[in-house]
Amino acid sequence: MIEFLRAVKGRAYPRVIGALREPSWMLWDTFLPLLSLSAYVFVYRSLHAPREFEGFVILGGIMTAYWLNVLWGMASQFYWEKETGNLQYYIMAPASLESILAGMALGGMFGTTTRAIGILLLGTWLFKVDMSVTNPYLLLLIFVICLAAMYAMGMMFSSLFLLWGREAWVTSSLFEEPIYFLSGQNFPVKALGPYLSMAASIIPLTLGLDAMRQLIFPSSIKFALMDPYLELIFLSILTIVYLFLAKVFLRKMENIGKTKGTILTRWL
Amino acid sequence: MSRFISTVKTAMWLDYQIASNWTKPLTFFTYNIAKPVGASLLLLAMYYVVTGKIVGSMALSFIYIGNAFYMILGQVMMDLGWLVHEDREHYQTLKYIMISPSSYYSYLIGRSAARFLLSIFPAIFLLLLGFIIHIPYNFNYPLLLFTILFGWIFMVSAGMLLNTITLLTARYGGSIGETFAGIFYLLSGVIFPLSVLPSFLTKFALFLPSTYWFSLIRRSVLGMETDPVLSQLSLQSTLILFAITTAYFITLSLSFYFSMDYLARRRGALEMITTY
Repeated sequence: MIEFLRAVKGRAYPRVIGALREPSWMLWDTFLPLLSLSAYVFVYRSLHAPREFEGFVILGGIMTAYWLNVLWGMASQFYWEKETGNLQYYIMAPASLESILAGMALGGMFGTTTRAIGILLLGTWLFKVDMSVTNPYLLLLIFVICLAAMYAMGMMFSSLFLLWGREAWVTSSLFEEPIYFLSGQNFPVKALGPYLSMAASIIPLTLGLDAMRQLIFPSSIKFALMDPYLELIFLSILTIVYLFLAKVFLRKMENIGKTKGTILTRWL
Repeated sequence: MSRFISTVKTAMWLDYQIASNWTKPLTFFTYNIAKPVGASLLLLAMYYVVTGKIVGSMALSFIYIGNAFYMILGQVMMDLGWLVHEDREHYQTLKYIMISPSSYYSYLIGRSAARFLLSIFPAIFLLLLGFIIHIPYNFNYPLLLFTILFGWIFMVSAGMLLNTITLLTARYGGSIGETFAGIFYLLSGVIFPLSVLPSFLTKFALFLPSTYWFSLIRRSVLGMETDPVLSQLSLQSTLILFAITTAYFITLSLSFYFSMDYLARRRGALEMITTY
């Protein structure tokens, strides 16, 4: 257990330092999402949508920052490690891949939170978004559990990268726009209809966004998919399931990768 | 000239291989279409939650057509943003390309041409899907062809600008590409009319070639321009303004190319490995 925690700390450390080392990166990481967020806000303005819809866009933008970190900083990280020649050291080290991934997740969450705060502050200031949190403790709990489920999902996907090359990179890329749509990034997911929105609930982002929208914008309760407490329960279940699957898949994919000899191949 | 054409053709072939040879062509083309379709569905859902319908208004047509063609511009910008970084640090081939007898500029033109062509397929697919939601098409084919061809020239020049900047930067490749793409998305009247923007941003938008490109796209696909600001311009004026703004983008990209290329060689940045 101590070794596990030391490995977590060791892998989180460069991410925490890296997140703060170069202030200009923070500027880019905050400024860039704001460009597309602003475009979506202006779409709602051009359609004369209620003001809380602009808040949905800001909230979606914040959670998307985490989703992108899960995709590119967790799931596909093993691809980059393979390409730069670090993966063999992770595998040889007397630490589990789970602890390395947990470290990446914690460090990634820290780095993304610094950006998310920037997006929140700038977004609400620029577009005068009115947020009134009805239950801050529940909101915080849902936010944390949603992140845990998302990063557990990222750990599960990362196992694929032990096996694949560019296919996995492409998969991550494919999990951007289609997932923004399925998770209801900028709109109440209930609009997708009961079957599609329930199917999309296997993506933690979907349930997390729906619950947080209800707690931050009380007038949006009429658009809600289900009760936030119920969404909290489902998110907790998803976290456990994805963590378990991550553990199983990591072992399996590592073995297949070693057997096929693809675990260290580069430029594929 | 023949060397230029040969370099462009080879670069196009190379780019297609890099983009697609991880899988079978059918899977690649499905992947190529899935992302733009996802982005369009997101906007359709936003339209639906506000209006309660999914067919038949000019506002929807404006959003849908703008977004379908933005996929070309956005994809070219984002991919080109990574190109130098990828050649230099990932595949570590930049120095070999630089010492080959071909011009690096023509190589970049070829790479961007391939990206442009690959991005056209999703746009065609989205245009076909548009029939389902009753987009009132009124094609002006000569104008559409002209707009797409000259759009490529503008995108190549914008892409060159990106690439030449990334010759000297470490990790910003993707960020610069996304920033360019984001600025064009926000300020070109792609998915909402320019009149919705604050007035100082509307004025800035009128200096971007992409603004006129999207206006020409709407005129050639929908047969009209519904943006209150841009509809005040005649077709001829829009064409002239597009040509002028594209010309200064080309001038800017060429001057940047020569100066950044000179600086990158002086600083020894062509072999830079930053392992980001």
